[in-house]
Amino acid sequence: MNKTRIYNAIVAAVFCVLCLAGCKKPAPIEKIDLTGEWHLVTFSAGEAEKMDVDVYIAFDKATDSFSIYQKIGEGHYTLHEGTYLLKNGILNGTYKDGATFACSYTVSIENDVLTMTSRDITPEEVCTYKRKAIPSEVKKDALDYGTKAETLIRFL
Amino acid sequence: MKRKLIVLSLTALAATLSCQKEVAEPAESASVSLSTKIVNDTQDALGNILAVKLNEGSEADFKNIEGLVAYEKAFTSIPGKEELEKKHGLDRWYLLSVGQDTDIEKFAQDVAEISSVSTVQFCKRIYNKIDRTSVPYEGAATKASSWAPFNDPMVGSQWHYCNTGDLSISPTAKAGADVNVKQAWKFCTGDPSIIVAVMDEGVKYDHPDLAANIWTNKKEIPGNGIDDDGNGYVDDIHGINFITNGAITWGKVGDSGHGTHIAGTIAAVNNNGIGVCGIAGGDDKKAGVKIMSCQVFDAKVSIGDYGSARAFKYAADNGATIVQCSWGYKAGFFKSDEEYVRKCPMEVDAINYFLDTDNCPNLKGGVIIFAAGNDEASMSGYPAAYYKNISVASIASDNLPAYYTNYGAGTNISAPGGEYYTGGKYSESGCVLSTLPYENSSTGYGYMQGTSMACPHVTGVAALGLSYMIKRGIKMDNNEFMSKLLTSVNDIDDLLNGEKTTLVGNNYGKLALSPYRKQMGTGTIDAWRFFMQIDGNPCLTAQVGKSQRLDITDYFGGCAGNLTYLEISISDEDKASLGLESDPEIAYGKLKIHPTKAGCGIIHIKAVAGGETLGTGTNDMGGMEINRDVAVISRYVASSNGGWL
Repeated sequence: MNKTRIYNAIVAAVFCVLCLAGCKKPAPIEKIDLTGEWHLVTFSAGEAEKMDVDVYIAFDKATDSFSIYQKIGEGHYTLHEGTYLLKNGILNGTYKDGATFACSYTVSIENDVLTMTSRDITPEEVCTYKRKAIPSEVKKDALDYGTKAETLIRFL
Repeated sequence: MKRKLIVLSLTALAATLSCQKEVAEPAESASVSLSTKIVNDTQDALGNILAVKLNEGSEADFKNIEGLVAYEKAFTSIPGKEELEKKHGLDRWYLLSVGQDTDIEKFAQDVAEISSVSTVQFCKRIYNKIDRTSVPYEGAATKASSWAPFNDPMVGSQWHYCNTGDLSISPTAKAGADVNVKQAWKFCTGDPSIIVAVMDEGVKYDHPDLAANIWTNKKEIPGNGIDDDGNGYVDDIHGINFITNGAITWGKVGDSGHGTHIAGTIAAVNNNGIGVCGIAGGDDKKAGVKIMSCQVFDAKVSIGDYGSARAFKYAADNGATIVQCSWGYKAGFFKSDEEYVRKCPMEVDAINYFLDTDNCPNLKGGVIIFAAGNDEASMSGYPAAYYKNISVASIASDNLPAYYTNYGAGTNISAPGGEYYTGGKYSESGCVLSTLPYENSSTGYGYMQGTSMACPHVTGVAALGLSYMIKRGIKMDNNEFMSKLLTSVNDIDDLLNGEKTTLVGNNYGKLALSPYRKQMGTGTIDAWRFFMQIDGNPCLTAQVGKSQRLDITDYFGGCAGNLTYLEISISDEDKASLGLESDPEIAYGKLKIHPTKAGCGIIHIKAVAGGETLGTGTNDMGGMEINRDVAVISRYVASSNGGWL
């Protein structure tokens, strides 16, 4: 092999290395897709229905947004909205009013059951949800959290 | 006979004097008995009538009393209500009339001698709670409203329903100084099955902005001169005039339009394209609550308290669930519940009868709401201050106490009552706008100020809340209803610093605000909060493993930080469920709790609405008892805004 060919090979190799270094690695595809509507089944204190806790969560991947319809005890459902980020199976979120989720959650879906486990909290809060469409009467009844807060804190 | 009377008179006199100082020797049993039976004195009493109560099981025997002209049972017995009448002693009350020349005090002593008599009461006059002036509304009825869902052209001038802070109301008007009916009206505007008795001057029942919401006694045939329904009153189509036992009247010389004004705040017809709005006035698709006129003032004449007692019974017997009373005695006339109960037993018996009557399927019992009074006194007047009645103080358009309002002991809650002199400028626009008879205002509308005007705001919110309960299928008893009503408030204590400019004495001056701190009841009524309370309160969420203070304003309103809490308790089972190692407590208006397990429980909290001690009817002036059950759930996570994640 003559020197020119070796030189060209080295240059080509270096060129390839540089090209590869300059290329962005393709992002790993998030295997979990939360999109859809979910209904709380169990949480740390037990079965939600028995505890008079009723929570629906809707995730929209297209807009990275979530809507939570919750009624804990009596009264109206309250609507909490915001945006979320799911990365590597870890869920974080921020409510419309700027508050963040209580913590990050490790999420998994198996047989249409969504499990969310709190991270960095001991003991862990484990909540399970089943896929279920949010009833129209729940959506109709819900008071937007912002409205309720605004009308109750009226001064001045 | 004459010697006997002299002996008795002297003995009675001795007994009276002996009540004013320590008795050195035991009094004769006959004189003690007499002075105990005669419960009050003749100050401000009607001179020709006496109320007398018999012992249980006794028959009336008044025939031989010198000076007696006539006597009658004080209350008409209604078929089916005999048991309740007996329970509250109404069946044993009589009214004895004497001639004009009869010495009523001596007559009372003679009556007290009768062994079957337990109580002898002079009948006191009751008083209106306003200055009896109004200012007609004469502006163009086109003040647009950007907030009300109704087309009533004057609603934009009714700042007391929704105050936008428009300085044309007054120089110091504040946004939010109102009853917050704007949000509530989205859910409910009234219910025609609810009857509110307005105990006052006669209500002009044919006022075009009231007529559709006036109660009609369908069992009575108008104008036939017969008591068709047997309730003791003839032709009581929309109520009755208890002074004349005849037709309801208004517009005479001396009538102020007070009753009509009050009725309008509660139930002026909404969305009819004319005039003003009423808090529970309905809308054009569904009628509002119904007003029953129980007239106890006629021109310059006010009735004795036997008339108000009859009015309470009439309201109970004819379907009213709420009684609205903007009248009473001057502050200090009675200084304690014990004194009021002792000296006005007939009225108290009738009040208890009304409170014990179920006229609405969704509410067990009745509700009575009184104006606190306009004596600028640091105590409510009676009967408002009585622990079973709700006593309402007044705020102005600046969200501060009106200069005239009573406050302090016995006051349970506040509401807009208007003020002419807010901010140092005389203007009627800072007062309450409502309906008036044409005799008082050529337009049929006008302004008034007073705790008289504040009171119907609470009454209207109560009626609106009851309408909402019917719509939602919610039921409760009157104690729970009043607990929720009195905790559906916004706090104003943080505003009560410094001074405000208003009428002080006879001139503009500075009114110090600090004396009103924690003295305006639980706060200012909020209709929207009341709806939320009626719907039920969400659980408070606590985080396991942390000692934390939970916000209880959903349960106690804006006054949570200022209430006197008497009792906080939790069952052993719920305590174990939450893993509480120590009992929860309230500190600085927040619930302090430290759960160690995920679980749930109910915490029972008892507090006082107005003051630091509870009224019991047998002691000093006190506040009304509030009872709330606060549900708590504990989880391992808790977001800062209550969101589930």
